[in-house]
Amino acid sequence: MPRRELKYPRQVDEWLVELADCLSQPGRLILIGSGGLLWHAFQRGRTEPLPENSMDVDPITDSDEVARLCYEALIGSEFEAKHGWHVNLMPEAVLGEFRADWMQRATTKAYDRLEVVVPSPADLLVPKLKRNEPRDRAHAAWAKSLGMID
Amino acid sequence: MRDYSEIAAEAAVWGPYVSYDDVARFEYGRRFWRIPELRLRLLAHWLDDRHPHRERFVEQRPLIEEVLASDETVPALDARLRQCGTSLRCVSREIPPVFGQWFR
Repeated sequence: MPRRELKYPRQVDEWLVELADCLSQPGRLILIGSGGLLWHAFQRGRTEPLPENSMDVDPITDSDEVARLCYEALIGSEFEAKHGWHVNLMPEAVLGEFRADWMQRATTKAYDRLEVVVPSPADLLVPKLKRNEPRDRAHAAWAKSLGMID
Repeated sequence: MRDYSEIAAEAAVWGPYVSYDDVARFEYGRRFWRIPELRLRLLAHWLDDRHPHRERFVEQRPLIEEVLASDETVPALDARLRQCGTSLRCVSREIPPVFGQWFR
């Protein structure tokens, strides 16, 4: 069974710092899903945990090195044993779930050689609210309580 | 990254009930296939006796390898596969997953 211990905003930022430290050349990823919401919360200095833990982060990358490092952190990996959650690489096709102009509202941050792009909280919630499971609604309410969406 | 219109054009290939896990195995599998070290690592993993999809992979290995080695666009690759009676959606489903416990 996958472990489900991703809940604090700092966990995503710490992973990105760790990932960037391993890069030998510039790379880029787009972070979607609840990992993206946690990232936004951390940028706002918030520490409140997600109302329901997550088992993974969902990055998309066109960098060979970033993709390889993410494969080292798949479900069942040593990374999961150490962190209590895993990395689930998503394909670019998933970006079709977002509004066409999501990039205009996205935030970009450099972690040394790693460029991280995160869609806005409102855009991150679009596919979640389309799925509309209780966990998705709880994450939307959490984002609202932190002032990340109206 | 590809632009939105290209991604939208590929959506028809994956169909209305897309499995992003299948698409990811194709997308990143094809990326890794171009790197000899990673190609060998994937092959060793999929042919490992412990891999639950080993036999299935062996049965379909030529087709899966052909898809992973391709450099055509997604719509062009799908069109070629359809001429052979299959589709990219079908073949992508057959690309074995990677299990972190013993992906060495």
